[in-house]
Amino acid sequence: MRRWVLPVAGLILVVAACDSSPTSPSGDAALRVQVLDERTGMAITDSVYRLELQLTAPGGSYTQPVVNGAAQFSGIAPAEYRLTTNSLFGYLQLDLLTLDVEGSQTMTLRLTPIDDLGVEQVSVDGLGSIPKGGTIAIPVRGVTLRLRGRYQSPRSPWPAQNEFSANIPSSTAGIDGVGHEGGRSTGDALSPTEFEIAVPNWTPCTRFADGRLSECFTSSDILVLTMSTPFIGGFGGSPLVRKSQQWPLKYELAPDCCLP
Amino acid sequence: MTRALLMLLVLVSIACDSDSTPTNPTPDPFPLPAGAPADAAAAAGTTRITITAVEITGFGGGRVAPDALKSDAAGGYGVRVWIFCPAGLEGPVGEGATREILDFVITKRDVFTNIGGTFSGMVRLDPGYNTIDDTLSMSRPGRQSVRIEIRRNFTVIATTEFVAIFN
Repeated sequence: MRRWVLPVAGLILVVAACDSSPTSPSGDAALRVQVLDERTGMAITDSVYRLELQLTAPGGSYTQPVVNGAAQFSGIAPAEYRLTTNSLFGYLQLDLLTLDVEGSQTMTLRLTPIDDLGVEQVSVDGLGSIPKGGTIAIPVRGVTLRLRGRYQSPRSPWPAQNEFSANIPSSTAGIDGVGHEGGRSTGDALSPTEFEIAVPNWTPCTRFADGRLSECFTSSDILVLTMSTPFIGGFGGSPLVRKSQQWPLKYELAPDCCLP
Repeated sequence: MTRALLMLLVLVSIACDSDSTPTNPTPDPFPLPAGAPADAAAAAGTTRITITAVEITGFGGGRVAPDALKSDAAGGYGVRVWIFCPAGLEGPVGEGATREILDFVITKRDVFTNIGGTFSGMVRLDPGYNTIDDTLSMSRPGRQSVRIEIRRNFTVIATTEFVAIFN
């Protein structure tokens, strides 16, 4: 019986020691990061950007939202961390930052305001809002897909009617879904800060021929978004930003909809 | 018993090897390439992609100041843009739909007529020093504004500008 104790204990130790999922081990270090707009020098206090900072080290990671222009990390393990920024839209961290955190520290992070956009709501006419990870039933004629979100554009600000567009690539095959039957995507600025992209007759398929869809896929992970300058009098249409945003979706294709 | 414990230690050590070491962003590990001008060197501790110098050279290869150019210079001037990229910010990265678009745009415009054009293309940034080459010329005395942008997914991540003066 005792012969098995050591190998079993060893196995448990190995499994426990090698858990590679992000963890947040507790410690006695603390870090306060004040977040400033690099152009204005002012603290970024508007919660619309949904800024959050992440500290990552081999031993664990911590994420904190930016509230009233600062993120507060407390009870973290002393270590060398990489500091990164996530946001819905609006700001970019140009600097690659690593920092030794021990004791109680304060630092300032300057973010660059950029032309940027972010989707807050995906919806389908007749079905309503589709959350991340949600499923959309797809009839042969497709669905009217709407992507609503926020943007800012220092290089082409309102009242410029910037162009907005989106692709939804398959999570596996590297193909994009498209609107068909004459469906045309339109993306408009609704206000100085909001946009909507509408895609009539959208399907998670690349072709529509002889009443059947083909090259279809059943899941996607990201939205690929582009904002461009207005196309006026044959000029413009220059991309201001292109980005991908995580928004996993699943699709239920109608029976007999599709060519194999 | 000792052998078993030793084996256990080895097992833990092998299984827990991690490759996610934080990157040191300082430029110190990157010496200036041979032939680079001294002012192309990034300041110690540079943490972002930076255009460190714009080197203008004449037909004979000698460096020329941007305010001492000649409109009748045969073949014009060569322009070399020096870019420092900290390790960890190299690119383009990603693949498929998330593959980054990393490009440069050099816009040249006659200051008086506002007529000009752009030279652009895709760029690959390796850790350390990188260069982009262009040319500069003017058929008559005047001033030309030159703006250089490095863009990641069309967002400007590094920029510099100067006025070239042709006598």
